[in-house]
Amino acid sequence: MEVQAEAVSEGAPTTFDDAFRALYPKVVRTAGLIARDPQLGADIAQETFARLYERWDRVESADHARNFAFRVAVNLARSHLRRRLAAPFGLRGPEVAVPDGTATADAWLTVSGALGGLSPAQRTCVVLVDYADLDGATVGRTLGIAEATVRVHVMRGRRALRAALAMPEEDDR
Amino acid sequence: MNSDPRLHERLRAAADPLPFVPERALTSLDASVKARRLRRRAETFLVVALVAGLGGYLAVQVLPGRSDVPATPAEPLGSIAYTQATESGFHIFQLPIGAEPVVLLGEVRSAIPRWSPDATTFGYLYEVEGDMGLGVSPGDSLIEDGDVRDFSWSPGGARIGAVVHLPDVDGDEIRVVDVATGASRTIVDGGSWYGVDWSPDGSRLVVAGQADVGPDNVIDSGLYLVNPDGSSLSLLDDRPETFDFFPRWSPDGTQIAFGRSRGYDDVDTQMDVFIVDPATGDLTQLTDRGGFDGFPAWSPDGSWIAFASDRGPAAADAADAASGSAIVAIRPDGSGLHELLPQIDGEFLIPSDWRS
Repeated sequence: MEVQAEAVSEGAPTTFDDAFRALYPKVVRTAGLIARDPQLGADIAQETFARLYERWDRVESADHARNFAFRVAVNLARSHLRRRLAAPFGLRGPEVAVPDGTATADAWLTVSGALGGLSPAQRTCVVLVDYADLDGATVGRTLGIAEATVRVHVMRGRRALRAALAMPEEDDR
Repeated sequence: MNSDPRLHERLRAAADPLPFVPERALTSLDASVKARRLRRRAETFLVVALVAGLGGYLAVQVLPGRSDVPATPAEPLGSIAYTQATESGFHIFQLPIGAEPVVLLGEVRSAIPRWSPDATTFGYLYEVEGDMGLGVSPGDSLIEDGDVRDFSWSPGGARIGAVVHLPDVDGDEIRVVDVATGASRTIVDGGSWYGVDWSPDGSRLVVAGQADVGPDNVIDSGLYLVNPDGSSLSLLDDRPETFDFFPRWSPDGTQIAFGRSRGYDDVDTQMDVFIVDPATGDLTQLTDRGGFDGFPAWSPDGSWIAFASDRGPAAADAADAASGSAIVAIRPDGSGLHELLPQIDGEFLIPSDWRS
């Protein structure tokens, strides 16, 4: 990409390429975990960064770029979840998710299966907090919900995830 | 709230080994951005052309001031048959309005229940090796050789009209099936269809979708009327830029409710409920909220229309609103919005029939 636009605030990524390299690995895997489909995570990340590129001249800071990328990726992942739910009724858009046959690693299959037991909101919040390392306030802004709501989703999601993964329960308060 | 170290490690161990090549992704992103620019230019050109040339032609009427209409004392009554779809599967239920839902069929993955005209049984779609077959309670199979998308009983209950997708040839057909014998006849062969409903007087079926490409290479998309023997297939409402789904006749046969999306990419997130008068073609837009409002079902007296809505009045926050749908009801004039079954995160609730 031949992009040299300067972001305006201190600490901002120098170029779009810098932001891409810094954020892409986390975004592609976060989307893959929420959608429970690694290939879909890559497709979502592609769309996410295409949108970020198009509005790069309005990006004000590194935090702004990060929050925008995660918000778009989460929305796209949740849209694909909805599309799967609607598939039995003929509402098959052209981008129906196809499970990735190459994702056979035991760790992935185990965690992906366990995440499937969480509600979409719980899964999204747990992945953003416990994988992407976003704090509750940032997740709330990303999803457009209250931080207290994020906390409830995370606590319930962690409880379900630990049970599914046979991990000991911990105090999340 | 910070991350849990143990969960963080489990998630990282699962996700971080996933292979990807950032440089390759950056290269393909470059091509993707260029393609998006070209597409947007084409879309802009199309919008300008439509506004300039067809602005007067678009006669859609959004009901004025419907949010100011006070709710009437009358409440929706009866029972609604609906589908509950989650990531783990889909099952059919009956909702006696004001009471708790009852499972209609719990053993198999099933969808779109519709009662027979005498209400002694119901038809439904069920999963057969990844496709959807058509069955009639208590377990008789009528269609298993295709992927059934929608169906409708004839007014006398002796026949069923069905939209069947044939994966082997990637084509659709409209069939009429004799319920007693299972004998079926294809009345429309080819096209892409997304819903069917039999008129209350039995004279016609309405089907939503697209006939095959015409001689001028234009695909006509919209609602079609067709006789039960397959004759006189005619376009009722032609909007090439939209996609229509799940049409349903009003009980008196004077109106047809259906879901309409502006683009096939967004059929699961962007849809509105419309009503069309089949005699005149006059169109009324019932919902215009920017989300998903679809799968209409008329009340037996025609005074209400239930539909699936992903922004039900009780939707608590944006995260929940993006991952489920409530069942709501509205009068055909756009007044009296009622929530019949609230939205729950991760559950897509879809009404398909309503009886007294």
